[in-house]
Amino acid sequence: MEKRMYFEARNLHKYYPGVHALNNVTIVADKGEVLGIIGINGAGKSTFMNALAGEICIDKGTYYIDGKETIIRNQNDSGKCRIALIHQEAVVFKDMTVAENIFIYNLNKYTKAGRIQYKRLFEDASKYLSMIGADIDPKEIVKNITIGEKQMIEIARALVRDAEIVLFDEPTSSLSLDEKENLFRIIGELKQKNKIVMYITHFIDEIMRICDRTVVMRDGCVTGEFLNEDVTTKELVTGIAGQEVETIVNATDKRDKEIVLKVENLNCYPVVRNVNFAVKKGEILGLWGLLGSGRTEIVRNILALDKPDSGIVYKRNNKGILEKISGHKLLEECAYVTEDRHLDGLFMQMPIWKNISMANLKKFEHFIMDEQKERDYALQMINEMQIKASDENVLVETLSGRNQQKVVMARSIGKNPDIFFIDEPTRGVDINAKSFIHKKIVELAECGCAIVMISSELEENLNLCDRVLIVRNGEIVAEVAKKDISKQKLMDLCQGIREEVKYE
Amino acid sequence: MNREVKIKNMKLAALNNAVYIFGILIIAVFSVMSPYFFTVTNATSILRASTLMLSIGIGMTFALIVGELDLSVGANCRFSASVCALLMVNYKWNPYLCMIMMPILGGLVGLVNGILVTRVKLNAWLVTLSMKLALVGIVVKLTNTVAINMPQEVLQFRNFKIFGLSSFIVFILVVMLIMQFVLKYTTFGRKIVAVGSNPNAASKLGLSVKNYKLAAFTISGIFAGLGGMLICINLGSVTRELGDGYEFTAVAAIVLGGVSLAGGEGSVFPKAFIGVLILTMIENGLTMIGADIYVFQIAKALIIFVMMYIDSKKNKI
Repeated sequence: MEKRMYFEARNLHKYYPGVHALNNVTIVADKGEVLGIIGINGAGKSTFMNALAGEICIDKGTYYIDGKETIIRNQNDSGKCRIALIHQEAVVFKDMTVAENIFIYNLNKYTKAGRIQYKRLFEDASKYLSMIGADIDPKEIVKNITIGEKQMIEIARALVRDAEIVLFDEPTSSLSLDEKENLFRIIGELKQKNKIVMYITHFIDEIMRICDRTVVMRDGCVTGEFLNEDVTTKELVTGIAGQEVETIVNATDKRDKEIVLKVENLNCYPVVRNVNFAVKKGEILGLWGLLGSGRTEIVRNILALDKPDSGIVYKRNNKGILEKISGHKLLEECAYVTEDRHLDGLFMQMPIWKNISMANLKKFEHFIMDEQKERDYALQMINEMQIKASDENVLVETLSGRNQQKVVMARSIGKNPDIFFIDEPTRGVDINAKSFIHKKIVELAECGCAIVMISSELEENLNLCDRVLIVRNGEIVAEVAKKDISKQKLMDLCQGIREEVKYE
Repeated sequence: MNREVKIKNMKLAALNNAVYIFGILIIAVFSVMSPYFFTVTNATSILRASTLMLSIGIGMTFALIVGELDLSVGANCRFSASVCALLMVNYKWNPYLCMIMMPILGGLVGLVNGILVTRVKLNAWLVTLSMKLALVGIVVKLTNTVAINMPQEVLQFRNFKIFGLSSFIVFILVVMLIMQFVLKYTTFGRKIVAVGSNPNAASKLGLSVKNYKLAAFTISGIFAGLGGMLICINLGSVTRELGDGYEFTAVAAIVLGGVSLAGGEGSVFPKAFIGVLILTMIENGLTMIGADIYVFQIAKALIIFVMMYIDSKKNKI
């Protein structure tokens, strides 16, 4: 008999209505190993993680942990198997202290005569926090700390429970660079401590950097397994996508076009300070800055979703004259794709067709709503955007991330806007869909739509933008033209390492 | 694989239509237990008894769909009916005018609720709850809890029949269909649903979340007042029990029918209508078989529990 690994999941199956989310998945891992699991959205990697964490129950299959057959039906079972999941969005209680959050499963051990012994709690909390090198005050209330620090709480919590298997579900998606580095260091330490780390992501560079072995998933199946020493990035990309992926680059020159949107002296203290810029027809303008630099707030203030202290916005009207426009009016006329499709992008419990037509109901109204026309239009968009859904009646919540993002895009494109604000066009979206969305954005620009894009991904700014404005502390500190855009320059500028000529 | 998926889909279909299956079951059980249950006369009396709850339910559906709860509907119904009835009887105002004033007065109360919630930004539960207390207080002060009897002009609507049904029953059924039409086939209705489904996303599309919520509260108020009008025609008097506890009965009924408490999902017809009908049918059936009056409450509660359980099952599958 072959040697048993510490953790084995054999022939897992999970069915959702219409989807075979896990199809005969077998994944094994041994102690002291960092296993990467990579795949596009909807490949089944999150389903696998959630099954291990006990958040969902698999329909068929067996787990062996330490050679013993084990059943995981709920979070308690998972905890008993010493599995801990570090969520993409940290699960924390935001009105409690850091220490209480860390020991949330073990608070009774710190209780004497019905009272929590806070002194001992705080001491132990700082012990665990220093173990992972996190510099957080255990007495701090969680709502006051950063996203990266919240993640540290979850990791500390896993240590407290003495977890042998630590699962990371796309942990870097909202971390800053420093926080990311810190996380990688901690993962290295976990490995030293002989734990199993399973790391889900769709970033290949992260996989190449920290993992020993990589499992590639596609359409609910495991399609490949590589030792990281003998695999190249290109092989992985092809394995993940099932085909070669093209990089979309926006190459046309738009210097001579007329201005369609001009923002003057926009202020919303302290997050937006004295912002001035203009966008030309058919131009893709990037707003680049770190998380929390005020880039999203600039757009929100232009559209009057926040109340600006001052500022005038001009938009080019039908006659070709720049005209003052109110934020509400602009919001009605332009398209705005927000960064978080779950929070304020989609109507999750509604079918695709209602989501797509929602942005321009007037177009389908002939005294009453013309439902057939809406459905036909939705089908056409589903086709055009290559949304994977059996028909237009599918509820948006059942779609995978990339298809949801495409629905958001389809809705906005259907509005035929002449100005398009996009915040994080490809967050949480795999490489195939990313390339597709990039293509659509470039197409839109070629049709004359002015695009203001916010993206945390350097590549996206590099490949798509005609111009990039650097945002720091709510101010536009520099402007970089297409020919000058480089990775290093953008990084330096947004962190204030390099000073550029002030934007005029 | 296919077999398992099929079973799941079948279960889902059964759960989705649970309320209809349940309705048929109730009809069957009561029909067996009482020979008078499954008759045209009884069907008419069930419809007649359901008009008040139906009217309040229609308004409440709009409030729930937009994601808010209106706890003042019962008191609002009594308030609108009482004030207008007093004007009609004690101050000899034109009875027809007073009847039309009932929904208008209800709508005004709803509008105040809406303004307090959306503009002054107070919590909807507390606003409507204190509104309820205030309205009941005003009514008690004005009427001294004495019942007010309606003049002949009002009662004539009861005797005026269309297709063998009293005109006010036909009236509320038609209004119900119109409101469903508004909800489903107008941009206004679609936007109300959107606001309830995800207010954040709706605001990013340029919809004024505040105004649609305000509209929903107003509609809720109008239909509370309309319920008062219907009960005046139906019973011929405004009593001190009118509308008492109706905010919760109506919510229970329409949620039973499948209107979501979380907002964004529901319809006036068939969902709210079926819910109201089932609850009325249960009361009627229990009366028919001569059940203890106290059993009513327990039975109602049990049925609501069961339906909610089925609903939670639906989400888990």
